Amino acid sequence: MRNISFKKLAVLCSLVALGTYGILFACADYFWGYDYDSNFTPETYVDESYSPLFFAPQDVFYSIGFESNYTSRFNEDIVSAWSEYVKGKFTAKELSFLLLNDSAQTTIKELYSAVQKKQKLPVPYARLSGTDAQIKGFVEFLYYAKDIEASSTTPLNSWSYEETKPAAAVNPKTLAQVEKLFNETTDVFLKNRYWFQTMKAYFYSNNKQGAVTFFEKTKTSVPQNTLYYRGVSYIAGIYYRKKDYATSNYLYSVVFDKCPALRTVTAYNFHPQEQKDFQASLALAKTPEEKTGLWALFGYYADEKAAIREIYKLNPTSEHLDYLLTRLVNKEEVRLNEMEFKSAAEYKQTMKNQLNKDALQLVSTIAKDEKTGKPYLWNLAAGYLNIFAGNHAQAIQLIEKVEKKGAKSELASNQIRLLKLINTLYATTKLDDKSESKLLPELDWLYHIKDSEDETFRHRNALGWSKQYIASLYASQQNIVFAELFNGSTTFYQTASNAEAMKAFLHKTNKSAWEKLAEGIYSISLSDIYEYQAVMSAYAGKLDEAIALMEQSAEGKNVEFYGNPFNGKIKDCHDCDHAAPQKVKYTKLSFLKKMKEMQSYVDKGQDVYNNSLLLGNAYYNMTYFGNGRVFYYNDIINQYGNYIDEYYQPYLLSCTTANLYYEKAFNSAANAEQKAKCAYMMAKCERNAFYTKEYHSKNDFWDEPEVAFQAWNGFKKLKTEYSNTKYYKEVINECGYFSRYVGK
Amino acid sequence: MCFILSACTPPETNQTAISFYYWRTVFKLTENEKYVLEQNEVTKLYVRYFDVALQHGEPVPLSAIAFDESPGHQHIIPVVYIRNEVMLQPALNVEELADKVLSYINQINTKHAIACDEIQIDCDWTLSSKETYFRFIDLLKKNSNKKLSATIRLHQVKYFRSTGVPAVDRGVLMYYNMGRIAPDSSNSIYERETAQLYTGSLKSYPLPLDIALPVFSWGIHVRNNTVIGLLNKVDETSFKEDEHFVMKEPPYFEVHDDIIKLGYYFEKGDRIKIESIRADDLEEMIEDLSEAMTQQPGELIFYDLDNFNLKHYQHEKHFFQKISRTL
Repeated sequence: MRNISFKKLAVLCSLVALGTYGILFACADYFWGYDYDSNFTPETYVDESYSPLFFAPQDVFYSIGFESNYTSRFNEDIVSAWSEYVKGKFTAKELSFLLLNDSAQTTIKELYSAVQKKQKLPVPYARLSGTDAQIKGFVEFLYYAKDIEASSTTPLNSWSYEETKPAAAVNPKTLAQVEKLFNETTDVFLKNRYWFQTMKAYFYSNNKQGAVTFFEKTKTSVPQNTLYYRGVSYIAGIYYRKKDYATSNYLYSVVFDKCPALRTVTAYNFHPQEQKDFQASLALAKTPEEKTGLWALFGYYADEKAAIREIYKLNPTSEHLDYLLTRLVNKEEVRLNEMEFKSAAEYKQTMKNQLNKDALQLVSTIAKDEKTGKPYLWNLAAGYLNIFAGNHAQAIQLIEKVEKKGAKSELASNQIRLLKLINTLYATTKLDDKSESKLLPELDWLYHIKDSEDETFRHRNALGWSKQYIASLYASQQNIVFAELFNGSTTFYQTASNAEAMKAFLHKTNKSAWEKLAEGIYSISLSDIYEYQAVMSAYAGKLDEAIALMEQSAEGKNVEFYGNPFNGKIKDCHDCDHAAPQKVKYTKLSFLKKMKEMQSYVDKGQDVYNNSLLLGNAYYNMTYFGNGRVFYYNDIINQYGNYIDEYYQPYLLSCTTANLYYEKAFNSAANAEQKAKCAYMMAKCERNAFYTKEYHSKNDFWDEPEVAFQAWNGFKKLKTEYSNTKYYKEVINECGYFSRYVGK
Repeated sequence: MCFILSACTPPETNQTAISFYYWRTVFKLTENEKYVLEQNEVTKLYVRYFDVALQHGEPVPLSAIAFDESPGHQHIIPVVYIRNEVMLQPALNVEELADKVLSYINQINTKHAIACDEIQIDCDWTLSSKETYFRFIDLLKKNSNKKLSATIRLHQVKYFRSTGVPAVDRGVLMYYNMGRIAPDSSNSIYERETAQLYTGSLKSYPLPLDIALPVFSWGIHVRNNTVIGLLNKVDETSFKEDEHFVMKEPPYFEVHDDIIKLGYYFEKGDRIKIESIRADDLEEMIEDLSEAMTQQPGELIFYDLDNFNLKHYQHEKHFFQKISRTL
């Protein structure tokens, strides 16, 4: 069973491997956390044995991903049971070694041989007597159990192909011997274990049907403990192999119901193929208890609501109801919480319309009855669903009931506080002093929950949602600053008056506690805003304004360029410029000041060629193509990648201003060398305009194709008019495109 | 006599060879699969030998192939699928992995008396795993003394200057799975418009390419306009005769009642989008590819050999061979 299950999982990935998909289920490789879209923590009140079965649409099993403890699940129980049986004659360490360690094979054989021959036991067990009933019983058991175990395990994922072949079937002699020992042993402890070993031996033998016969013959005489249910699982597996899904699923449901340790594995194996299989399993379930178990798995596999209805009729105190309820609520909220919204009113109407009315009614009715084992869990769920329905008075009433009567824990207190906060906020239609002061302590708590190792408590969805909801209310109240503070927009600062309004708010010295809270969650600082305004002014060529603004950007003004932003090389090699020695390290502010100085020389007509050329380089380097991208690195602009947003393309991708200065330099050039240089720089600008139009402005831009050059005007000019310059030769040496253009 | 022969057997041309991927975990061909191979004169199969994935941070082989029968006269090319996570593992010992992969292939070959002269690696490498993957490929090439091929995705052709080109003897262009698995009516396996966004780059791709074409279908399980599952080996006929499922507007079946079918649970209101590849889709792909490629591909490999898939193309005896001749 173990290996089949694992293979199934592995094959799922492999089957789609030659494709590109890793997005579904088992192959998912990204994960945002369970509280990305959930406010309802199932762990709050549900028993741990159900945990892997909590709703986790991207995983096979919640939290654990895959079931992987097939061979180790019962290790502790096994050692402790035997420890009690041998009355401490073997130490726990020895028992652990002998029972669980594969390398104990030789020792076990020696012990068995000594016991059989009534000889002294080998070291380090020489202190023990081989004739002692418990010791003899243990050693004999070990001997056969290990033999059977060898047929039940296959080393998984070994780099030895030989080892992946299925293990040999259990030897009929071993099988006969353990069955004999089961029949003959009078010791209750040993008899129970030999019963299980006989079941296991049949299952891994060539006579699997023998397990069914043996089980039918003995089932009433063995205690219904974990070993018994492990035995039942073997029978379920045999029926599955025979494609008798009805019986197989029925038996798995019995195990699921009775043996918490096997819940995950039985849920995994429960697999009706067609509707009729499930109906047939139901017909096999004889008692309300068995029917409950079957519906509990059906709820996991297919439909929680139907399962809850049926189980509630059969046994309203069934523990299975708890986990099914959390699945139902989580499924419902994940669906609802995924929806985007702009206006609070519209959002609430959508939630009300979209909420599954059947689910609300079912949960509310059961909560009202108070007949379940954990009425507080149902009240909590009903309270939560009523928030979506807009029944806030009812919601708070239900949640407060949980506060009074529910089981107490830190997680429960957090969960209750969170749902109360959501309800309060949800019921808020206008933000004013009154509502703000009511929300303040609760939001202060939510926004300052520390990320700890235990991430069980689901609060991150509320974190984002509350900000979005509050922002939408502020937006409807035309309070643009607070709408922005709670939910920043990428376009906010594109309107100059917005930036001024935000600056005024951030400059305020006597902020209220609510204002402080809003400021505390906002990621943009005053420094960022001044820097943003300074950068945008610089692109507009307003250098005085840019300098004045940059002066006020506490952090921005000191940010250094990696390379010299006045460089203008033949090849745009940012890394080379960054690595080159620089006598002066320019900051964003000193850069602007230097530009201003050069501008004033140009205006005065002093050394126009050099100053224009350097200004051309400066404007060039401020673009995406230049060596000074750091100039526009700013949290408001937020253009750190290769694709530049449409809004910023005219600034970050445009070399128009640079080109103007290159033209000015060209016109003031004193000789052919200088003119050649300007012509080439203009060709670079022309090339960048082409790149922008053809590649960078396209949404699917990734990178430029291998050959991306044309006969730029600058190239033509260089070739026809300046081919006798030194600079021309340098260009041919360094610029592959140019050299290809001139055909060299 | 000569006339009759030439009418029955088309004259030999410099045609593209055809073969299939075999992607099941146990090698055993059905009679029909054997028949299709024979009819189309297929003599080569690309068999998935094993996957390599990470377990506890270590690369391990998964779902190794078992041979229930000998591949007979079929020439076998082992294919190893390596999950990208392996190449992204910072502590990966690439040399050791290359040795282990080669040794594992050899073990399988020895055990089943298979002689192979080529190995194919399938890995959807990314920019961050490129360097490691290419080193792995170089080591395989150096240590195996065999021909080495690798699967190439369409985006890796278009953006090869960034994604890089593995140093293999041939690439196999996967001409499928080009779209997103989505609830809308697009076909994620193949759409001509999507393909054409990439085919323009084929002429400048520096590696000789064979072509892998899809012959599979699947269902996309959609609930509340969200994809919730992928139904493998499912096509229109899987639901056509069942009254709980109604196809009003292809490619969607609408679920009329809550129902368990084929081992899946469907809720009333769910939709199942069938994505499949028709015979004329394959013809269209070949037409487009022959225009887009400067060099004729050496081989057409169909993914994958399975009765369930083959039945869609058995209206003509030599269908696969026939369409390969148009390339």
